[in-house]
Amino acid sequence: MEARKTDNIAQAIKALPYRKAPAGFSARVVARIAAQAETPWQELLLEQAGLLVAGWSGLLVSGAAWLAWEYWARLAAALLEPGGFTHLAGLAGAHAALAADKLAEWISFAARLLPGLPPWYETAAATLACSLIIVALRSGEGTRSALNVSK
Amino acid sequence: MDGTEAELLGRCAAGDTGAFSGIVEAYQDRIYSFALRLLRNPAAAEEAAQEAFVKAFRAISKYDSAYPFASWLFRIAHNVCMDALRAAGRNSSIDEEDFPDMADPAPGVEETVGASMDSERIEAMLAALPPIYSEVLLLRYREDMGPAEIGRVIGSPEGTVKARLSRGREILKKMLGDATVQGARP
Repeated sequence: MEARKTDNIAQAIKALPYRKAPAGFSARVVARIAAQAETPWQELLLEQAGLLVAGWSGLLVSGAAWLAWEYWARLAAALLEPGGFTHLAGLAGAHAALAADKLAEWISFAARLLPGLPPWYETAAATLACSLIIVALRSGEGTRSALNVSK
Repeated sequence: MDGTEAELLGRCAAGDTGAFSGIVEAYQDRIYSFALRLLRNPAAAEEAAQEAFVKAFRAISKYDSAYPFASWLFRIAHNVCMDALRAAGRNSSIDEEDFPDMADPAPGVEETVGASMDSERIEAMLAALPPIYSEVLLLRYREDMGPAEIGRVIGSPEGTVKARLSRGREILKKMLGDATVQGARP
């Protein structure tokens, strides 16, 4: 009885009809492949810029989180004191002024260095070459992960 | 693999999308049906099947002709469908090996009785199973793959495949028994 049930199950699954794929299915697949092959360069550029921004943001957030974690007890104690908030705001303002001063100095230093730097087209060519290498490496990774197969 | 398919695959490896369209047409119903039976949603199944074909085209140079092309393609489809199920929040039914008693099978299962099983009934029963069981049953009986080949498709050892097949059949038999008992009641 049990064996007959299993047999029935196997036969019933075997006899299941294939569902027809929607009309135009293969044309849509080919169109998707073509669309992916022709990724516009602007998109690649934006993607790289996005990655750069995301990387820097991650670094800044991690740094801020580390500072908060490291000094939270002292910050909390300082905030609880009378006039603590004003004192901390003044301290933060002083730090910001110092950072702005350092930035201005760095910009002036960079401006003095500028005449010694390679011409803009060499820098642009180097940036483009680096971007192409990154894109090539990433597309290779994509192909490997597409399969997710270990034969 | 026949000569025509091998020739088409060779042309696909050279980047010929026209040749790949022939491959898609040959396999689209099988892959779409597989995805539909796992995802139970026509739009999601079409998306998954298309994604599987696109990924297959991009990775065609990695295909090893020592293995059947169908199982390689089903492996990609399996990965895409499992990702879709996870994204849809059906993790538990993918990852859990254990399966509770079938107290509430899919609607319609218990209403249909009789010794022979029609396709609607077995579809409903398969739909009530967690995907890890329904997919091995489909690959074993509908796609006529052996346990080793199924293991390559789902990326699990042969023993796991056999255990899932056995458990899946057991649950279906229980469903069948319940339905028969329900039908026999006055």
